[in-house]
Formats: sequence, C-alpha cells, structure tokens
Amino acid sequence: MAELFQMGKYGAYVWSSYGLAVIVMGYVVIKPVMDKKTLLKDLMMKYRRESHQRIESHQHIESQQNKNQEQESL
Amino acid sequence: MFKVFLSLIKRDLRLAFRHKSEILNPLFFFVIVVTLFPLGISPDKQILAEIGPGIIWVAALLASMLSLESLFRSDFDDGTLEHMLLSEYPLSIMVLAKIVVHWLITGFPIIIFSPLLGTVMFLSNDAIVTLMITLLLGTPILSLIGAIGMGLVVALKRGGMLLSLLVLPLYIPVLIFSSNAVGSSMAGLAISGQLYFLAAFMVFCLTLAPIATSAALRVSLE
Amino acid sequence: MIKAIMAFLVKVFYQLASPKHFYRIAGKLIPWFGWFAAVLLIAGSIDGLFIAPVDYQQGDSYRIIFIHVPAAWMSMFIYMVMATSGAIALIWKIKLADVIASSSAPIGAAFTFLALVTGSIWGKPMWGAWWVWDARLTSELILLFLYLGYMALESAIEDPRAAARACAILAIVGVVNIPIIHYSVEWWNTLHQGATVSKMDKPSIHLSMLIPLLLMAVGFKLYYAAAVLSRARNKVLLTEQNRSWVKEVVELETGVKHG
Repeated sequence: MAELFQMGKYGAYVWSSYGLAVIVMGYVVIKPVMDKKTLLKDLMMKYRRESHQRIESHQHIESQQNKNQEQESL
Repeated sequence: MFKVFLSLIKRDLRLAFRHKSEILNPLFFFVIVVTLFPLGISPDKQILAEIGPGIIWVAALLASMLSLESLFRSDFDDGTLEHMLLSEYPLSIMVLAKIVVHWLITGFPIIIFSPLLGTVMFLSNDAIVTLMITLLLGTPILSLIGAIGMGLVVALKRGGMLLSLLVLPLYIPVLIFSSNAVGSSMAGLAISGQLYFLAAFMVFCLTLAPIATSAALRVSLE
Repeated sequence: MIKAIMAFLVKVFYQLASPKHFYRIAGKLIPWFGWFAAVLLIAGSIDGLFIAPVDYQQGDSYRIIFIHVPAAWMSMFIYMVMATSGAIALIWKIKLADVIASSSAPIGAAFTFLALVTGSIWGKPMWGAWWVWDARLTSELILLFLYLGYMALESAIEDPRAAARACAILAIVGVVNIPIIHYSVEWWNTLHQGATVSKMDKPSIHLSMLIPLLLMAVGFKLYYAAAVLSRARNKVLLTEQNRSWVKEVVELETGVKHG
C-alpha cells in the first residue's frame, strides 16, 4: 500500500498533480452552486422590494383617487 | 471608392503630421528600448549579435502596439468614427485606409531606422537586409492585427493595458518567424521558408483584418 | 417519418434557444453528465494510477499525463466551443450562445492552467527543471493568455450585450490564429531542441496506457458539460431576471411566495 503511495520516487509529483486537478475541478463545479444560492437570495430580495413598491404605489394612487372623488363630490 | 480611400489616407497623414510626436514618439521608443538591452545584459559583440534580432523585433512589436491609440482614438473622441460607420462607403475600406496611415507613420520609420540598430547590435550586412525585409512584411501585420484589438477596446476608458494583453499573443507567430529569419541569415542558413510564411500571413491579415476591425468597431460604437 | 424527425429536431433546437426551456432541460441534464463524468474520472484515475504498467523510461512519473494531456485537449476544445458559440450568437443572434461562450471561458482557463502546472510538475522529474520552453507547454501558455484576454475584455465592457459581441469577435480571431500560433511554436521549438527532447508526444502509445487516457478524456468532456450548463443556468437567471418565469423559478426554488 505504501509502495503504491510512493509511486517509485515520484510520489510527490504524481499526487500533487492529481490533487491539484481535484482542487481546481472541484472549485469550478462548486462555485456555480454557491453563486446560485446568493443569486436566489438576491433575486428574492429584489422581487420583495418591487412588490412592496408596487403595493405602495397602488395605495398612493388609490388614496389620490379617493381624494379626487371627495373633492368632486363636494 | 478608391477616391474615398485615397482622400482618407491624405487626411489622416495631414493630421498625423500636425502632431509630429505621433510619428516620432514610437520611433524614439523603438530606439531606446533596443538600447536598454546592451545596458541591461552585456555589450559583448557575440551575445548581442545572437540576441539582437529578437530584441529589435520585440522592440518593433512594442513600439507598434503602443502607437495603436493613434488609429482610432481621436476620431472616436470627436465623433468622426461614428460618421464613418454611418457612411455609405464600406467601413472595411475606410479602416484599411487608416491602417495604411498607421503603418506609414510607425512601421515605415521603424524599417528606415532598423539598419542603424542592426549595426549597433553587430548584425551582419546580410542579416540587416533580412531584418528590413522581415520588418517590411511584418510591420503591416502588426498594424492589421493591432487594428482589430484597437477596434475592440476603443470605447473603453482605460483600454491600453487590455489592448496589449489581447494583441501580443497574436503577434507571436510574426515574432518567431521574423527573428528566426534574421538569426538564420547571420548563420548563413536558408530564410525563404520564413519569408514565405510572413508574406502569406500578411496577405491573410490584409484580407481579413479590416473586416474583423469593422465588426469590432460596430460593437464598440453602438 | 423523416419529416417528423426534422420537425422534432427543429422544435428541440428552438426550445433550447429559449432561455426558459434551456433552464429546465439543462437542470435535468446536469445530474446525468455529472454522475457519468464522476464514474469515468474515478475509473480513469484508478486505472492510470494503479493499473497501467510502469513506464520503462520514466517510471511512475508518467502517470501525470492522464491529467495533463486530457486537460490540454479540453483547453483547446473549450476554446473552439467558445468561438463557435460566439459565431452562432453573432450570426443568428441567439442569446443563449453568448451565455454558453461566457460560461465556458473560466472553465477553459482552469483546464489550461491545470495543463500548464501538471506539465511543469511532470517536467521536473523528466528534465530536471520546473519549466521548459517545449512546444506544448509554450502553446498552452499562449492559450492561457488568450483566455485571460477574453475574460478581461468581457469584464471591461459594461453593457453585457456589447461585451458578448466583442468577446465573440475576439474568440473567432483567436481561433483562427491558434493553428498559426501552434505551428509557429512547434517550428520554433524543433530548431532549439538541444538536449531536452520532448517525449510528451509518444508516437505509439500502448493500449494499457491509452485506455485510462481515453477514460479521462471523455470524463473531462462530460464534466465540462455539467459545469458549463450549471454556470449557464445561473447566467440565464441573472439576465432574464425580470421575466415572469424567472420569478416562478425563484419562488419554487426558495419556497417563498410574493405578491
């Protein structure tokens, strides 16, 4: 087993190459997963903000309309 | 259409001569850079003769690249470039005219001064002739490929460094074959293959680079 | 029969070009690519590390080629994909092609980097130096510059559509130049061979070494498919964020509803 690990006398070279490959390729697939989580969170906040703004502006318009109707009826 | 081509060349040349620094600065840069190497490495004749071709060519590369701003910058800034895009004449022709002028004000002076630098680097007479031929074939390629890069970055505020990163890798084949031709010339070896490559590459770039540059300009200016 | 197949293919093509369908279909494909890639990569690694025989000249250090060579192949392949999708985006104005090109760039750069470093690590026991200006390594280095230039251009241009088009042009110019650069570097290298003859390109490779190589090569390709689709899905969500289908997807995936 230890002999397999040694790889002749080239153990350090071979294992560092494969190890580097694992690290680089692992990072390349993990990063989109992490990005997606933040992206979903950001989009959620954005939609929430937008729907609040929509509700507020509707309320604003409604209250303006009510005021106009009151003024007209006077 | 040829009249438009010529008149654009005349116009750009006139503008360039109004700012003589546009012509002289790249040239001085070229000379200074070559001078740095004996100072930084060694004034020994053998060493300089061996690295001379490569150094002169790298210096020509850098000088040509640093002067690319003069291609589109001022026309971009004052809106002339936009007018060219909207004109009825093919953009590729106008781009080619500007590239020709760029070569006339950068590549051509480099070719004229190269024998001086070749002597300073102890190149043989044959090698100096080869140097001039490679510069004659190669500097247009530098202007042509450089134009593509400049077209891509002209709209960016600080595109200078980015331009280098984009364009220098594409210059490498020219460098390899040119400096090798000069080196082979010193050693008395054959150079025809290298020169054929350079000629072919130049024609290749001459036909395709204006089109790519036009496409790049359209992207930058919209 | 043929008509039906053609109609089906056209339908698939148009569906794939639609970001909404792409998101859904890619989501289904990624696990398949991913798991197959994992199986092939593990099999290839085990074969390459433990089963393939020891090389007569280089001992066990040659086993690095099972990473180095496929990584180099991928670096080239991905650049071709970038140039092709860039061309498709320019000609047919398909936004998704831009997304694929842009998602591929970091992956391609990563493979190029991997090829360079593993090549360098292999070089130390082979030639005694951490770097040699051999044809393949030098070409890979130049390719890395091309990738970095592409990514730098993309980040320098603010408007995403203009950035995509500029990068497409750059990729096409690059892909045309790559064979020229390769040829030049090969030629340059053969002149300056000297004592360090490159043994990286074995003229005839033994079957027992070829199999792990191919396993890794195919595994890398499937891995790339999974990785690029994964990145592309994120980009699609980002660029189409104002569309209603994205809102639905976000609600679905986070389990929260909005008014």
